[in-house]
Amino acid sequence: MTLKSVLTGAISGAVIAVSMPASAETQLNVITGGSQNMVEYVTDYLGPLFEEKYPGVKVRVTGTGPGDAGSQKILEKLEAQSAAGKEQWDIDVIVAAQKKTGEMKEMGLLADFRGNIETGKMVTRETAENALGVYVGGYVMPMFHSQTAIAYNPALVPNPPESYDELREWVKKYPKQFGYNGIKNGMSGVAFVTGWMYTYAGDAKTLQSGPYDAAKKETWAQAYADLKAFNENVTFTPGNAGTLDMLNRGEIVMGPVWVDMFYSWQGDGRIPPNLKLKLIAPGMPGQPYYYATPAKAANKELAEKFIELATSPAVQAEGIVNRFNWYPGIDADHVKASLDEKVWSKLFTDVTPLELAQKGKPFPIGPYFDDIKEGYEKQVSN
Amino acid sequence: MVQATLSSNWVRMTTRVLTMSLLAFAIFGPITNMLLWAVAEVWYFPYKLPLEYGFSFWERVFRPEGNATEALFSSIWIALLTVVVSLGIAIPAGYALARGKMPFRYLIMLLFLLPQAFPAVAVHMNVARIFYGLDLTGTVMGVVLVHASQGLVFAVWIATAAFAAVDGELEAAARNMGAGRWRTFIDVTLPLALPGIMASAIFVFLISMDEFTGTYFVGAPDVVTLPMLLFTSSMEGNYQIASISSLILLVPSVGFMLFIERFLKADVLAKVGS
Repeated sequence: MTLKSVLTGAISGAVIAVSMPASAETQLNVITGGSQNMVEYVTDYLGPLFEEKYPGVKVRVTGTGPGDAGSQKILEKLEAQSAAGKEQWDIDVIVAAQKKTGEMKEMGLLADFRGNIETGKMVTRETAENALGVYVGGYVMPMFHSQTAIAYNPALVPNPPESYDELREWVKKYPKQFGYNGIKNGMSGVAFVTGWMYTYAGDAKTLQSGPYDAAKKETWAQAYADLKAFNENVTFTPGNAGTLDMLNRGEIVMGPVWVDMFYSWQGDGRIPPNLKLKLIAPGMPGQPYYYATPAKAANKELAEKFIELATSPAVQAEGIVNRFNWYPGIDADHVKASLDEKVWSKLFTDVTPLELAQKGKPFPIGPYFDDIKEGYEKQVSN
Repeated sequence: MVQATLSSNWVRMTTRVLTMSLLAFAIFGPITNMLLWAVAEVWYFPYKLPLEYGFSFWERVFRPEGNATEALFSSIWIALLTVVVSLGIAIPAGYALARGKMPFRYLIMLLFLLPQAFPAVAVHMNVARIFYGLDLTGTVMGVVLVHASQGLVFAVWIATAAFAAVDGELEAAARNMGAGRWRTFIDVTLPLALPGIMASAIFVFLISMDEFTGTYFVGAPDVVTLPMLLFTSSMEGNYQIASISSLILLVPSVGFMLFIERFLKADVLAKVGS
């Protein structure tokens, strides 16, 4: 990067700003929730790939931020257009978190498109049909699956805890060395709390797949009380990235993180190269992000073509697994063929496929999920 | 006795020096950290300073696909238009509120506070709904109107104070010499109130430069400003990108201030708020 290229950029920017031409090409508007790495994925990799395949199309990307809060902004923008009675909406493709995508489908904001694309047959996982209790079959394509795990510094923690039980003992021995973000500013903390409830609130299966019983939350008092006691000995971090950042600065030596963010940060040199991951028993949740297209997208066919490309085995292999360290959204056997063994096994350095199958859990169904978060606010963080 | 005054003087001096250095540290410490992060390539515990310096994150921000330069220019363009719109309303409104015998003066002043009184997301979502009906979403004008609605409260309040501070007798003298109402306003009142009004312009410019929520609801996906590109990364602790974006946002703001400063001599500017 030289001063000269900054200047050329600035001058060309000035020309654009002054002339501001209305472009003759079709614009495909993609709006994505999630962390910065997801915005970069579409901006730098997927967008240019699609433009190459479909000349005359310009992909425009807008990011709305991580967690349910980021995806909520997408929901609101669609809702505003729906309420204004617009016939053509200004968003063609959305990338959103599980719970909010379910809500959008229930509000009638999404189109049923999976039957129109080739890759629709390549997903058989339960999350392609069920978004935390809402049936979404046909309305979504999983972009990737991600998983939370405990990151730790092996130089300082030679024998990391193997389970929630051991972790509880561990924090008593080493107070304030474990850090997480509670249930604010990112799902890694939420995932940790959810795993805690699966372990200590009893009947994890029902929490994950229903049926919902409003009386159930009354039985969770002990699990929350124990979590409150556990929190006495932990350090609170600002969010998903904040946990990684505090690990980096040595303020904590252990904490829950998203696996993909962990590997990307490590690749960037933003956390020490020796940090490792551990998926503790009985398990922690993960979630997919979904591609979907709004009910009244202006460029419906193009949007479907875009999602088809994004979920094709070659793109899932190169983009999702190789460049961005996520687990694929479509079934793994379709993807594995396009990858060499080394790249594939990089994903499974610290967490083996077997561990993932045994300890990778879904998040709870929507109403239980709300109960868990509400109970945390009332009984743990008060 | 002499001893006592000496030692109390000494204590006073020490306190002053200490306070000053603490203040300097509070101001320049974060800025230094920001500058370091903007050129740090690899920096992790237990190292006190970055291990590698370089501009690769600058390349990341200014990569052609990233549209950062385009976003920067549309940010500046929107901020300038917002200043024009806000001042266009704030000057007459401020004059009327300061000089006119208006009923319910304070109610009207409070009215401008309304957009600030509710959570931003709720306000902007409904603005978006209305603008979709008027086909104003996705237009620069729509975004400027949203920014102006946020900037107006400062612009109007400061302009009112600035006009109120102008000595009424000077206006009366001008009228005595035969100047009409309009002439008096242009030649006497406005120049005297200008420093305050310019200060409010700086405020409005800065508010517009880093506004996110309204821009997203009304502008996206067609209008992209710098905060929209970098908001997510700044929120999450991507320190390099956050620092670079702060630095980029500093440039137009400082430039705007320097321009105003040249435009109004420093001694006039010093009277702002008096």
